[in-house]
Amino acid sequence: MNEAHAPEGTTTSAAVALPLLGLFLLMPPVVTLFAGGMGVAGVPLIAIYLFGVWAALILCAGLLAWRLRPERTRTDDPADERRTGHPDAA
Amino acid sequence: MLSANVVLIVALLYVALLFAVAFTGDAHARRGDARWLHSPIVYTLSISLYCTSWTYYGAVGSAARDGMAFVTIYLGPTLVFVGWWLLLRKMVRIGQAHRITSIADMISSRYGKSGSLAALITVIAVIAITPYIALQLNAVTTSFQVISNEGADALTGFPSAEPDFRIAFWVAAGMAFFTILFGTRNIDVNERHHGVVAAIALEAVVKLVALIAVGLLVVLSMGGGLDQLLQQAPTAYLRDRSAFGATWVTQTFLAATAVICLPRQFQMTVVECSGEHQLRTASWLFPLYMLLVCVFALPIAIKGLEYLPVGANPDMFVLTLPMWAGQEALTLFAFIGGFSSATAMVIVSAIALSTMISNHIIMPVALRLPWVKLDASGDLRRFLLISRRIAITLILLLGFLDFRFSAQSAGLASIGLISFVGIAQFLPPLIAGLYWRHATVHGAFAGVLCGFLVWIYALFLPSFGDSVVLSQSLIEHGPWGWTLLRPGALFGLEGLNPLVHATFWSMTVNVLLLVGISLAIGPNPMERLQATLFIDIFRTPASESARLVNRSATRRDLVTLARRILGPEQARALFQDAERRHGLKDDQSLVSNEFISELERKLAGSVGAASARAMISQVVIGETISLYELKRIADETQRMRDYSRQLEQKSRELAAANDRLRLLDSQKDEFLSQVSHEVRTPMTSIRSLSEILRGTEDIEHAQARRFVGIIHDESIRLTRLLDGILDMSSLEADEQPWQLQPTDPEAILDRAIRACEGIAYDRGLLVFGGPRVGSGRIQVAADPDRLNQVFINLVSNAIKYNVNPKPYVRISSSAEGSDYAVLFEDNGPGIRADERERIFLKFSRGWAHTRTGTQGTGLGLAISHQIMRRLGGTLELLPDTGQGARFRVRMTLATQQGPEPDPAPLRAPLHRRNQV
Repeated sequence: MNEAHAPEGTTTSAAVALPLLGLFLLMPPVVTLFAGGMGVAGVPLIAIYLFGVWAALILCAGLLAWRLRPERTRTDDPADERRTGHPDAA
Repeated sequence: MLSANVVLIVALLYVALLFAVAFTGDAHARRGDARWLHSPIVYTLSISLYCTSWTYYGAVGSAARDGMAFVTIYLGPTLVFVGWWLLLRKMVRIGQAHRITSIADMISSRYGKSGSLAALITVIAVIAITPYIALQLNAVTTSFQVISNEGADALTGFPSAEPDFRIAFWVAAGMAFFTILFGTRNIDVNERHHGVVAAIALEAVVKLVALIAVGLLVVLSMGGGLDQLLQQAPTAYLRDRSAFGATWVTQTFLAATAVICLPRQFQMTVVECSGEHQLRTASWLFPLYMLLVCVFALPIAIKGLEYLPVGANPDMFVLTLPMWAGQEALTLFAFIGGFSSATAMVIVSAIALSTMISNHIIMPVALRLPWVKLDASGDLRRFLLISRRIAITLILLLGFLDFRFSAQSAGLASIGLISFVGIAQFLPPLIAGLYWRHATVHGAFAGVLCGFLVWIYALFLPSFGDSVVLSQSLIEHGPWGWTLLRPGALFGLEGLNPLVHATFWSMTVNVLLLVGISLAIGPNPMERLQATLFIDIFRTPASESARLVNRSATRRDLVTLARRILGPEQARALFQDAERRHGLKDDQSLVSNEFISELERKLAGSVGAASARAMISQVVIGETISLYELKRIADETQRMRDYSRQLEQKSRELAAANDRLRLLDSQKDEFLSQVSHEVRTPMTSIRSLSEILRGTEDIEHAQARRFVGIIHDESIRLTRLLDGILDMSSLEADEQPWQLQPTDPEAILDRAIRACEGIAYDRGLLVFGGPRVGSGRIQVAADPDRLNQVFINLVSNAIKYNVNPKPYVRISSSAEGSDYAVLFEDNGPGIRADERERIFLKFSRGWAHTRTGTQGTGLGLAISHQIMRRLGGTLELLPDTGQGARFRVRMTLATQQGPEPDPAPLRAPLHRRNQV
């Protein structure tokens, strides 16, 4: 299948796992662990935690977006191969 | 303080700039050089209209009131975009493949292009969004009054008097004008609005920069650094664990839902999307935008609480703080930022809602009116455009009226959240539609309708305040005194925040009905078709539907229809293309399925799937959906898997066959080289000896005799080799049955053993008989000479290749029933496992590894095997026992002669030579 390769398994799995990880970190009960702390230099711990997780999610999403770009992954659309005839034996 | 006139002039100049940008964007798009409009950054910025004036002013207000809870409104969308691979990617792909025009269009298309479901969703969207639009008008009006207020109480952030509804009205009218001008310029096939997108992107930049500017002012010039600022703050509310309970979860869920289901977000994310690359960038850039928007909300809130008069309106901190600091230019910029966020939201909401109203309410009604029927002339495009313009005016009027007549007491954030719960009713049918094949239109319709009613009753109506719509006694004691049905505590669920309460019950009712009714009533063929096309979007192209729906129509009817919806130019281009590809010439010729489906998708891009289908249905004849094809496509995954398994198996077979061929080829080469070698050796000696005989005059007679003898022997050797090859090829080529005669196999076996005595003696080998049947007792049908050849070959092989220091060969025979079997066993090296399979093939010399120095022709066993086949018997190699080789010859007895095996086995050593 010359033009119908799904992106690498680990990258797509990570793309699925990332929002779930974010959900886990941002929802109670995990988030409540950071609710009471004093934090650093007067900045409440909860603000550091939430914005930190947020920034980390953005960073990971950026990394994934870079790894999922088409020149790396090519298309995963079998429609293309149907248009051009039979899928080639890999 | 700024005068009202200055503010007004700046605002108008800014609006003029927006018009210019929108106009340029449209002009570029029309000229076709709109690459900058398709850049992922413009796309991301246009999605950022999620951050409305609710965000701009309300995030700070919310932070001042409830602490960190305000970030939930941005964490939900962050999770959705970070997880774009799961949901948004699929939505965008479907939106492009099926030319989806709105959220109502997507859901109704999935559920069999149901017009009623689309209409229901449109109505709910309008009802839920109207207060939201009113909220934006409120924010613009209030901020204008606050900034241009000359009174001493300006810093409280409350307007000096009643909201000035004249301002609100003109703002609404201006937005309606802008929206109509750039949003309904044409009925675009893809429902894209480049000018609007350009303007929205600019507004996104302006509001972000303005908010950051205010934030920097607060942190840098007013507070003496962030850490000091936070230390001054009354941050008790930041340390409250109870803030992270059900409300936290609910708000995150609602915000995540809103960014998917809000008509304006759907418009920007899915409809205006021109490729997956845009979404890929937005997946991290949009969360980053929101992070930047939020990062200063907390400092601004804390600063506002600190410096501004007690009781000041926290929703206006963004504006009143620069005023307090005496920064007039920044104040004006902050106002423009808020103005941007409000106008962006209103404009896109109006476009999205007007598209929905015209496609899903006005069109279906119009199609039932006699004058819109196809045989009448007239341009439907004009009708569509006018209906959209009217819808836009209507939506803004509704928003204005809502603002004018409802109490605007609640904070900005809570009004927005109430809208979110209404919009969240679209999520269950959307998700079920994209991932669950059995979700049906009945379930979706009932779920959305009842969820919506619960929302109205439990959240929307009570939000107007006590005794406004619902009476005080109804709210406190429930209708007719049924306390179980109190709006704020349905079924006795008390103690929850009204938002959590309404979200819980409306979503519960929605999901239960969707799942329950879908399971009770199965999908109809059209739903199954659409479900397959949507759920398997990455495997099934939209054009597949052509194979599934059988229908036909005349060219003339379709041309008329296309011309009225798409316009004469587009229609002509489309049909010229069709003529080239499908050979449509004659007006009366019937058009293929494929083209009708293509045209339907084109029309759907303008009027929505349900209306497009209704229009096509008016002109087509005999529409059926092929269930067989549908099932086949639904099993696509299975098919692909089967196919690849077959491929694998075939390739394994091919590889095996190839190996065999290669082996045969190498055997042939080996044989040829061996034959050449075998032939060459005797030929060389024959040649050299005959040369001596010819060239030497006085050769001794005895010497000459000896040479002639050698020549003779070598000739015989040559002949034997050639005989073997000829024998083999004749055995293989000649399929004439042999003349068989009754033969005593035991006698032949004895003869063969005797013939081999010579070589056995040479090698000091013991040949002894096991149990034998004995000669003269039985007969088989055979060719005696051929059978003898087989026996001699087997015995001599067993002797020749035996390298055991005490070699022996054991020969036994038996006759049971009609079977006669002879067993040849030896204690030689045996046959190697990898040789066993091809031992009977030509040129394979199973004993090649024994290195006895004896080289056979590699034909003996092959010939014997062929002979036994021709004699109707078998020659087989018995399984390896670890010691020597065991061959067995089997034949069928010619007559039933009741053989009696010899009781005393013959164990006489035939030959033995003394040896170590």
